[in-house]
Amino acid sequence: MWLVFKEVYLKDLKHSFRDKDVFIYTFVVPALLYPSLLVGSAELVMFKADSESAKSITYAVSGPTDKGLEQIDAILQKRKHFKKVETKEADKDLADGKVDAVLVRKDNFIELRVNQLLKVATLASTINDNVSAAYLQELTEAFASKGFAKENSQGFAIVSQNITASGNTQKVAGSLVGKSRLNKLENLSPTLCLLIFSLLMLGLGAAYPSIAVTAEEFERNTIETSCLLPVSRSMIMLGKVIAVSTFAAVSGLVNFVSMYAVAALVLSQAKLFPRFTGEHLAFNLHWSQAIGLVACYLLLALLISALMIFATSFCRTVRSAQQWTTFPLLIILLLPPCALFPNLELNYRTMWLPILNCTLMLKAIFSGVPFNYTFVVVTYVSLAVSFAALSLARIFLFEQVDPGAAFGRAVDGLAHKIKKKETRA
Amino acid sequence: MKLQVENLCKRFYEPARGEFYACNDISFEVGQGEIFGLLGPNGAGKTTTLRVISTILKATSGSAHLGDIDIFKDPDAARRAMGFLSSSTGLYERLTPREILTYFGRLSGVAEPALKEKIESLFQALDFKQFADARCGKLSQGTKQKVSIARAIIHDPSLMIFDEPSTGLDVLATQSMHEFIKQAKSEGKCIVFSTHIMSEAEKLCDRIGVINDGKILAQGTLSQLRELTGETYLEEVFMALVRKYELVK
Repeated sequence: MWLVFKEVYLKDLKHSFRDKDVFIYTFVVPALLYPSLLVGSAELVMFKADSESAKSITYAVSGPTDKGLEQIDAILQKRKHFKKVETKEADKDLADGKVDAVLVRKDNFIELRVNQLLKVATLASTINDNVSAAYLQELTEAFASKGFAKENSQGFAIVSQNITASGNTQKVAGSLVGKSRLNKLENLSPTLCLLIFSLLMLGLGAAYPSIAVTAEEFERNTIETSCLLPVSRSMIMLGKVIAVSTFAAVSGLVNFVSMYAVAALVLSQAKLFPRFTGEHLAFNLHWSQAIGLVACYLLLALLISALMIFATSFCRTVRSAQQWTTFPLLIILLLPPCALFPNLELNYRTMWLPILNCTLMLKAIFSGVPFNYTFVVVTYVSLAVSFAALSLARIFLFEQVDPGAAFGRAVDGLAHKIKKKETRA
Repeated sequence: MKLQVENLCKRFYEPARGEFYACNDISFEVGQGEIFGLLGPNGAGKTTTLRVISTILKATSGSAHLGDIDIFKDPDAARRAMGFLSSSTGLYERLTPREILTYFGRLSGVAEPALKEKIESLFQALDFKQFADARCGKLSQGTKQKVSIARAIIHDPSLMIFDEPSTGLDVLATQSMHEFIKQAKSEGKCIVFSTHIMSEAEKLCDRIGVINDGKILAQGTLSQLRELTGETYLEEVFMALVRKYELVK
């Protein structure tokens, strides 16, 4: 039985590897194109940040002032990035966009509120980077001179104000003094982001090999010769899906390694991300986490490959498979990045959604979430979906069932039954 | 081994036509060292019949036995004892003939030391050793058909099924295909052969079954068919049988 699996696996691996489309999409694209895009995007962000930082940020002081607030105000006024504006209704002007920021004391915390609109939120992040990088020392000294101890001092934070949500504020950047209160977005490690983005290549890496092991077999009529072999068709399917999974996993891995290398290069050079250094890309994983990540990655490769084989088993020519698989591929590509949403976590609801649940499990393992029942459910769900997809693909491939004709037959049968019922009535 | 096919039916569904029988109540027998030809026009049901016998398609009803093997109940045993060859060579374009023969040989249960020798002897016998390590996609149609023959006989089957094997071949390749079929017959293999070329059937077949509209209209040796229709040439025999069927229909 295993001889069949081995032979089919090696044959499909060899046959697909010699296909130039498979070669390009498995090795060339993930190794070159996406890292190039990463460099391009970084360049664009840096260019944008440079132009943004050249503009001065207008701010107003709101509410009663005290010495701490005045101190911060004085520090900001010294800097070319900031321009103070006198206004009577600072909060209203912030909402109207007349000022970029409002300096205010809230309880025993000093805040620089900025608008939460995307453009300004980006600006807030830039401000925070500037402040955190250049003014940290100055602020700390200022606070110290006013008698605030470092350990339990009042903090200074840049916050964004959601003007549409009745004055609720949401912090988008870290505080500078005192205990760090990072939000979930900041908890996303760049390495985890790269890992999740490399999952996109699992779909692309599986696409062409799955076409080669299904639709191309029909086009060249090699499926007929496979049908004539005195071996288990389930083992043939297993050989096929493991071969496609190998391409998917290698493709994702090549993509991750190349993007990781490029990201390390970009971060080490860029002044844009002073808070991110090469250290942020370091893996600080326990061996059990590393094993869990590899297992999760392979499980995803298997699931995506099984779904792609199922999608392409409908097609009888390579061209139709290329056209038809665009939609399922798009869905497969869209799901993993959803795991980057800060509030989306693996729980009793999300654990049932294939692909996304695996990605969330990957995120959970990376973040050090201990092994729990959701991991078991995700594994079972993924294996069950893979099994179902491959079982259907096996019928379409080996039982010579034309899905179009089968569907037409079912519709005709239903119409016939309805007609019969109507006649009786 | 003897092939016995009884009341074989295969029903299909097409949205435009609804349900229809591609082969309907087909029965015939082929003995050891005999060539049985299925002769009929395109769409008569020849290929469907052969595909059902070779287990590629599932029969709607009927039975087929190869010696003691019930083909439909024990398809794996039947597949081990039969070789199927069609006009579409069905080769993996990016594998070499040697890789293809090794793959099919191993999966057909040919033991490893014997397999290597068998592959080498097939290269010699079919005269394509020089292309043994070239990718199949780059081979000529004739050479592809030779590789396809080698693939079909790598496990030394006792039943050979040929589905219009000479379609698309030039005169020389067709000639060598005919030689190969005759040689298989002389080795005592049971051969089922489908064609729409009258001269080919006349030249190769010991017995002929004339098939049209999914049904065998008549079967027997060429002289028996001549006697039945009163015609001399196979083409006229065929037309007479078809006309008679149309009239009855």
